[in-house]
Amino acid sequence: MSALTASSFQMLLERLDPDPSVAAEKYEDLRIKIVHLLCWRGCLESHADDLADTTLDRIAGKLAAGELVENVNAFAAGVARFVWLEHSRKNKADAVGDDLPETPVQADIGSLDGDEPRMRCMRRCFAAKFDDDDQRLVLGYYDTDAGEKTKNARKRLAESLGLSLNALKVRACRLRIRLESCINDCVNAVTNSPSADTTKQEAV
Amino acid sequence: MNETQIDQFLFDEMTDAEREQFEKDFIADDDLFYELADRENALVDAYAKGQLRGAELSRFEKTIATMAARRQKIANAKKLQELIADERVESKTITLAEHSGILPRIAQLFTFRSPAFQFAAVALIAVLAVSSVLLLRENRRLGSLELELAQSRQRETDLTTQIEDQQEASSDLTADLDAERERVRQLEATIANVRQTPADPHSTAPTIATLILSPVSFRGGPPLVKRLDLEPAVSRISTILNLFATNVDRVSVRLNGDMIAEGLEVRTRNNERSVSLTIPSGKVKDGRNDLSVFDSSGKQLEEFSFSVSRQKRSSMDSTGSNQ
Repeated sequence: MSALTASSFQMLLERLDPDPSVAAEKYEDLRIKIVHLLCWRGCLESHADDLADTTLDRIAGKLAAGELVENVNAFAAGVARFVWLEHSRKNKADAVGDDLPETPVQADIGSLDGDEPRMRCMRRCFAAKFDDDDQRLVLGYYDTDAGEKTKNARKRLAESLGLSLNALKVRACRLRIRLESCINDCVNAVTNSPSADTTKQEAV
Repeated sequence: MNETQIDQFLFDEMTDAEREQFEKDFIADDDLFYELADRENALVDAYAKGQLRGAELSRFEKTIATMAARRQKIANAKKLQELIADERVESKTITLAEHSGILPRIAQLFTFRSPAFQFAAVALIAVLAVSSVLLLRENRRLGSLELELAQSRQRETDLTTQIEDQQEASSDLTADLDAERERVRQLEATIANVRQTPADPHSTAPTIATLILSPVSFRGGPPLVKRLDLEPAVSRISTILNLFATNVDRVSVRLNGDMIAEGLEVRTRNNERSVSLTIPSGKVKDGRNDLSVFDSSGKQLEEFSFSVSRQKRSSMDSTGSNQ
């Protein structure tokens, strides 16, 4: 595992975009994508954050080491898969001899319903992370009780914000990612322990 | 990238090679990545609200067991929907989607939760209440006017009847007045003849006597028997019979058992009913005479008595007969 240095991090940013501010945005976007890639492979989001940082550190280290990387994004996807495989193998090895099952338990969605800390975290994050406009956007975009009229409602919402439907979708997704990340961190902090529905082993 | 591939990826239904390629694609393509994220959010929200059905539900449920992060997303989605519902009810937030567009605004006016609709409903109720009070007042006023009209019509009928009675009475009085005038004229002519010729005591005597009779047992007192002194020149007796306790319109009269008049009209004057008839003086006898009144069926209604005294000199006693 490569340790991140200031120079390697700077090299990574320069590869993403010559403009430092744009590069910073692209770095954050890349990090989010890596987190999702890991989650869609079965990783918990809280673990995925750490693994995404590990992935980016390795990419920066490779660049600093002079490795030829034609497409940083494609390269990042490959590195993320390796990081996830390493993490999975390590968890399997750690689980040997334990009573924990090697495969994930069935989802216990019901146990999440009465999760009052999660609701408190939801309200706290919603109020702290979003300004009024962002709150109204989230409430408007994800209020899907309108059923078949959801598309029309979102179209009017986009028009009122001066956005295209695609731009509205991207903005709503980013806000939701930020909100859920805040909630998960908050719940972990409140319970001060890993979520009850997790296992030491996560599926590969 | 089509929706089928996106769902295959999200439902973990791709081969390893397909998955690796797809991962490279969405890492490089922002649009694809957010398409994926948006589709996953939609699936998770629908599942959290129990709206997934059929194959889509079973495909989604398979991923819940293998994707720990998806279980967290479902839990967060439920809380987000609770938050949205709470915000909608508590603060009555009008979302931006509801806030824009003319048609939605018009539709909003007619939803029960809209303040405009509630205000309009209250105003409508107030207008209806005021209208009801006004209609009730007008209805009562109409009823009062109708009652007043009915009373006026009744008074009109009564007055018409009174006028007709007065006219009838007036007609009777006029007839009597004409008769008296005729008698005055005859008397004046007689006086003039007397002044011109030697006196003939019989020529100045009245030819008509007047008799007004009431029932024999009038007011329960002793029978009143009027006495009539008949001058020799009196040829007929103008008689008025006051009738009590009878509602018949026409009657017949017998004098001392002999029928002397039939089909006489009973007249009403000043709430008193009476019949009038003229009796030839030759029909009465000296002493007590009885007059009986019968209805059309022959039932006796009243009985009157009077006493007759024939004299050589015209005179009437002071008890009631006059000329």
